[in-house]
Amino acid sequence: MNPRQAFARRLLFAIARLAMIVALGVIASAALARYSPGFESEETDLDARISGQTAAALHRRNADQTDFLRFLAHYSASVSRGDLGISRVFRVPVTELLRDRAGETAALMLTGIAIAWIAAIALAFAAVWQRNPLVRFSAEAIGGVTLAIPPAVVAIAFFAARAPLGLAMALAILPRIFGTLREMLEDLWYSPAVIGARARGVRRFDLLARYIALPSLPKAVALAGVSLVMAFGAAIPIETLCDVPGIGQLAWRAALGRDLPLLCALAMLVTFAVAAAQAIGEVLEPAGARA
Amino acid sequence: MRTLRIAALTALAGVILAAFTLACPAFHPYDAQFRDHADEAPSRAFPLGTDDLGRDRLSRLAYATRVSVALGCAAAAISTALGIAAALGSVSVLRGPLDAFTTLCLSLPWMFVFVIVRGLLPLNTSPGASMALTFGVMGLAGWAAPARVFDAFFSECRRSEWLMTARAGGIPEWRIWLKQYWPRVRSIAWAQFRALVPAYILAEAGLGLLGLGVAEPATSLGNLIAELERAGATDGRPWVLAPIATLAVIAVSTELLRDRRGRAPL
Repeated sequence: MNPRQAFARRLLFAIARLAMIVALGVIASAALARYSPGFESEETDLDARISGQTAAALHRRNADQTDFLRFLAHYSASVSRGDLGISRVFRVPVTELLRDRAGETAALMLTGIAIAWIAAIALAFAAVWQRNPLVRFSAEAIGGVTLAIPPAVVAIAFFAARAPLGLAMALAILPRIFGTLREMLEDLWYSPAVIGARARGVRRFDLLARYIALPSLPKAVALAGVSLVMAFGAAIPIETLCDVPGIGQLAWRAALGRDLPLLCALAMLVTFAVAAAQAIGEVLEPAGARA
Repeated sequence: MRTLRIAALTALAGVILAAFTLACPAFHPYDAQFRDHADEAPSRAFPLGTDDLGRDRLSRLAYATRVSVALGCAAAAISTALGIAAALGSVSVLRGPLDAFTTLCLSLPWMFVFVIVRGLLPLNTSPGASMALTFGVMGLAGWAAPARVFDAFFSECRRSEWLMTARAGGIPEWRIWLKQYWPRVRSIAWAQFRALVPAYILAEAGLGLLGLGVAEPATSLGNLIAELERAGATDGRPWVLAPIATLAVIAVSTELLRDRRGRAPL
C-alpha cells in the first residue's frame, strides 16, 4: 500500500469513527434525558390557571418526545434536514439558539486557548530548557497553582475584578496543556536524536524547528483537540457565573430545564467538534512520526 | 532527595488536614445557628467568623473538607473499580463497543457530562442524598479514563512474554493473577485513584458554584465556595477565602503525590 492509499484509508477510518461517535453521543444523551426522573412532568401541570383539557393537549403535543424510539427516529430525520427541533425551555428553534450564542463561546474559547497555548509553550520551554532553577521552579509553580483552583472560582474572581474572561478561560486550561507540553519537550530534549544533534552543534533555531517542533506537531494537534474539550468544560461555569450568553450557559440551562432537543444538539455539536479535532491528530500522526 | 522532600511535604499537609477534619467535634456543630452573631468577623469564639445565618465558618470548613475529601476518594474508587471491570470486559468480549464508548465519554468535557447528569437527577433531595448523588454521578461518569488505561494494560499483558512463559510452565491461572497481574493492576489503580481524587474535588467545587452540588444545610467545599458568587462577598473579609485555600492545599498535595508521568513517587 503506497503512502497516499494509506492516508486515504486512515482518513476514511477517521470519518467513519467520527460519525459513529457522534451518533453514539446523540443516542446516549437522548436516553439519559428521556429516562431521567421527572421528564414527563410539565411545568404547566402545576399551573392552576390551566384546565385539565389544555394540560392533556400539551401532553399530547409533547408525546413524540416521550417515546424514545419515536423521538430518535423523528430527531434523526429532522437533523438530516438541518432542523434540530424546538427548545422546550426557550421555545425557539435550537439552530437559532446555537447560531445566536456560538459567537460568544467561540470568541471566549479561542481567546482562552490562544493565550493558554502561548503561556504553556513559554512555561514548558522555561521548565525544560532553562538551567536556572529559579526559572524552572517559577514555571512549575505557576502550572501547579493554576491547577489547584477550579475554573469557576477563577471566573468569579475575574468577573469581580472586571478582567477579561478570556484570561479566566486561559487560566482554566493552562495547567493541563503546560503539563503535557512539558512532558513532550522533556521526552524530545533527552531523545537520542536531539542529544546527537546538540553534540553535532546544530544551531538552536534548527534544533527547535526540525528536532522539536516538527516531531511534536501530531501530538500538538491532538492536544489542541483536548484543549477544546477543556475549554468547553470551563466555558460552562465561566459563562453561567459571569452571565455570558454563550453555549456553555445554554448547556447549563438545558440540563436544568431537561430540554431534550437542546441537550441532544449540544451533545452532538460538542462531540463532533472534539472528535473531529482528535481525528485530525490521528490522521496526521504517521506523517509526524515519519518526520 | 526531591522525592523524599515531596513525600514529607504531602505527608505534612495530609496530617494537618486529617487533624483539622478529625477535630470537627471540638468545634461548634456545623449546622448550629448563632442568630445574634450573624456575619461576624473572626473572634475567639468563632476563629473564622460566622456566615449570614450565624453558623461557625471554621466548623463548616472542617466538616466540608471531611465530606469533600472522603466522598472525592469514594468517587475515585468507584471510577477506578468501574475502569478495571470495563477493561476486563473489553479484554474478554466487548472490545469494539467498549472502545467506541470510552472514546465517546472521553470526547465529552467532564463538566458538561456532570452538569447534564446531575441536572437530570432530582435537585430537591435531602442533604445526604444530594451528597451521594453529586459524588456518585462523578464516580459513575468518570469511568472512561481509567478504563482506557487498564484496557491498554491488559492488552499489553496478553501479548507479554512473561504470561506465555507462565502459561507454558503450567502455572495455574489464579496464581498468575495473584502473583503477576495483581501487583501491576494495584499500582496502576493507585496512580489512577490519586489522579482522580483532586479532579473530583475540584469538579464538585464547580458543581457547587453552579447550584448542582451538595444541598444545604450539609456542606462541602463547593457549597462553601458558592458563597463567593455574591457581589462583594470578599470585600474587607479575606477569611471567606479559607475554603479556596483549603481546596488549593488539597489539590496541590494530591498532585504532588504523582510524579510527572502519573506514577506515584512514594
